[in-house]
Amino acid sequence: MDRGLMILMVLIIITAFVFGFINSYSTGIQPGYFEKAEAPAYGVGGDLIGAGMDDEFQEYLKALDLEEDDE
Amino acid sequence: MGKKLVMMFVIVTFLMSFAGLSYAATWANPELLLSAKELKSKIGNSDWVLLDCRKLKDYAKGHIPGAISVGKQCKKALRDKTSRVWRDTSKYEKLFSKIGIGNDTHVVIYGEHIKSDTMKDTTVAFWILEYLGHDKVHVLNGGIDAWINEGYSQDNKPTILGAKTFKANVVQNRYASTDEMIDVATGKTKGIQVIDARTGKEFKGADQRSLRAGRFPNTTINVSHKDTFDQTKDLETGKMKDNGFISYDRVADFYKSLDKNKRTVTFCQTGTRSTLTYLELRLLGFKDAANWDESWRVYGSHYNDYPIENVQWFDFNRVRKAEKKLKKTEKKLKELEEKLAALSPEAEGKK
Repeated sequence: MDRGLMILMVLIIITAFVFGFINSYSTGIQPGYFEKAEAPAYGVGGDLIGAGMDDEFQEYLKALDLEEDDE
Repeated sequence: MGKKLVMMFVIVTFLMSFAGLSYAATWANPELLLSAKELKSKIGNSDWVLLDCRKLKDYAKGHIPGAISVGKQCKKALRDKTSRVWRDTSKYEKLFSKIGIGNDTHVVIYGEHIKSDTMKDTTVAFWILEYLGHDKVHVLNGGIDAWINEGYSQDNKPTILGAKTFKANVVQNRYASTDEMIDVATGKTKGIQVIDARTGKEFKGADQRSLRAGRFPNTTINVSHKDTFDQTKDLETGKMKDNGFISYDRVADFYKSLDKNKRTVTFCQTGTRSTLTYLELRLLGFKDAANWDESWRVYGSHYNDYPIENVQWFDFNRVRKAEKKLKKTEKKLKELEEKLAALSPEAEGKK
């Protein structure tokens, strides 16, 4: 590969990293933190939200016999 | 050579003194508070249980893998409708046994602060378990935000654990009763330190949440529970805001004037926010920390028999005015709804 191109790529990577770092440093946003309410976290798709709250779990909660809320 | 050795000795001693200082400046009971990294290393151990204290809908969206939920936020699930602990401890025994918490189980409790304000649910559960004599309770510092910030994955499938046996061994001095506090207020009992964890406005009586507002007599200090959280810059307003994490330096500074060997009781409006103060006192090593469960909700509702400093009576006239305004708004809203219904295609079709 052309040497000039290699140098350019390295420069772009370093610049991008510094830009990202400064941005994160000044805004306080850390990697892994999402402001979007519909993005719960890594590894959990929005369309899967609540998929596991099945009948068995509802029965389990009922069996805990906690007082009902007034709200 | 000799000079060099002496110099090296001086430098090493100097550095070590700093190391010693930083080591000393930590919690007296650090095991009560876990970081996300520490929690991660515990996941999978059969004698460790994670309790999610947020609302069910938040648990359903995503939770720390393996965490259990009792179906509602802990401050509601673990107390009666007046926000007081169940005096019948067998109810706790049944509940904790059913959800898989035994006397040998380490319980890690977590909530979330910024969006759902459930860090105090975490500390309510912490205080109740300690009151019941459970000595293996831990709080995840920063709640689920700490977990997310580390980039760890979440799960959205609920966890149901096998039942265990939980027997309560109530530690009575972790509970402060209204009778005990009346004796403090009247000066009958001396030597008890009282921390008012309400806001400055509530402390002054400007924010009225009971029949009577004001200061509890013989209060030692007023430290709003929110102030003790670490502060970070809010991206929308640019102002500093509490973030749900606690750290030694900040917390210790608030209570530095207190004596750790004296009985120290904390309270707020419902004994909920003050459970954070209770956790902080336990972390700092206060020997006899307690939460006043009934707090100001009960104390301030008595019309004239409990002493209050700078007493402010609840302004019912203000409520009446607000009620009138609300009725006017409701009327306007109804009129607008009727106008909107008249403009709908169905209404147009009928014409």
